[in-house]
Amino acid sequence: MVAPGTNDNVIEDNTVLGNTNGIILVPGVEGNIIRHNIVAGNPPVQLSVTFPADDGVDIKNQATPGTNTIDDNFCLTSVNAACPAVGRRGDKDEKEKEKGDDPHQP
Amino acid sequence: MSRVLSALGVTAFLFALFAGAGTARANEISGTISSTLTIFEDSELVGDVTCTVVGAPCIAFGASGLKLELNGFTITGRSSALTPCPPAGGEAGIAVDNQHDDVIKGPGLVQQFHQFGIRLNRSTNTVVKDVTLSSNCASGIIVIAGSDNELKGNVSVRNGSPIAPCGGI
Repeated sequence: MVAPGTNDNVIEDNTVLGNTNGIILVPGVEGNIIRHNIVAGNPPVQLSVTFPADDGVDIKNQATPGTNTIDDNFCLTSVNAACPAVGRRGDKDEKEKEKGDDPHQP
Repeated sequence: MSRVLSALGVTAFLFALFAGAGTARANEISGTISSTLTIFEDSELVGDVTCTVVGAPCIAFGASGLKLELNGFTITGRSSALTPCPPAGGEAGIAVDNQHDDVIKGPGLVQQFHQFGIRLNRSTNTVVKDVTLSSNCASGIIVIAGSDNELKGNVSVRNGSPIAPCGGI
C-alpha cells in the first residue's frame, strides 16, 4: 500500500514469507483490515546479514496507529503492530465464540 | 435464387467460423507475450506464459467486471530468480488500473517481474485470490490508492530487493 487513499481494503488468510518486508501500510492509509495472515521470515536472515541497514520487518505499519485493523496475524517482527504473535490464526475468534457459549461467563 | 441463398449460407458459415475463433483467441492465454495483452472479456490461462514485455505490464485489465483465471499455470517475467534484481518501472505480471469489480483467481504463479507481480492502481472492489507471487523485484502484490479491494489466500514469497524494500504485500 503505497499512497494515501489506499483505504478500506481487506488482506486476510495470506502467507507472506521471505520478502524484504512482509506487509507494509504507508502513512495516510486507513480503514484497512489485515487479519489471519501468516507473515514471517521477512526479510530473510541472509538479507539482514548482507544489508544490515535494511530495516525490513514482517508487518510495517507506518499509518497513524488505530486507523487500520491489524488483528490475529501470525507474525514475529513489526513496527506498530502486535508482533510477535504466534497463536494459531483464528484462535482469537474461537476464544470469543467459546466465551459467548460458556454459561459460566458473565 | 438458389445460388444466391447458397452463397449467403456459405458467407454466414465463414463469418460464424472466424468470429468464434476470434473469441477463443481473446479468452485463452498461453505462450509468449511480447507486448502488453489487454483483456476486455473474461479470460483464462490455458498454458504457461512467458513475458518479454519491457517497461509495461504483461497482462492488463481493459475493463471492469472481468475475471482472469490462472488455472494453475505460471506467468514468468524477464528477471532471474538467481541473480540480483534491479526494479524496472512499469513492469508487472498483471495490472488492474482504474477499474472496479475485477477478479484474479488462482491457483497460479506470477514470478520474476522487474517490478510488481500484481499491481492494483486506483482500482476498487478487486479480488485477488489464491495466487502465488515469487521473486518479483518489488512487491508481490501492491495496492496503490484503491479501496475496498480483497486480497485473500495468496502466497507471497521472496519478493523485493534491498534497493526497493516494498515487500510481499
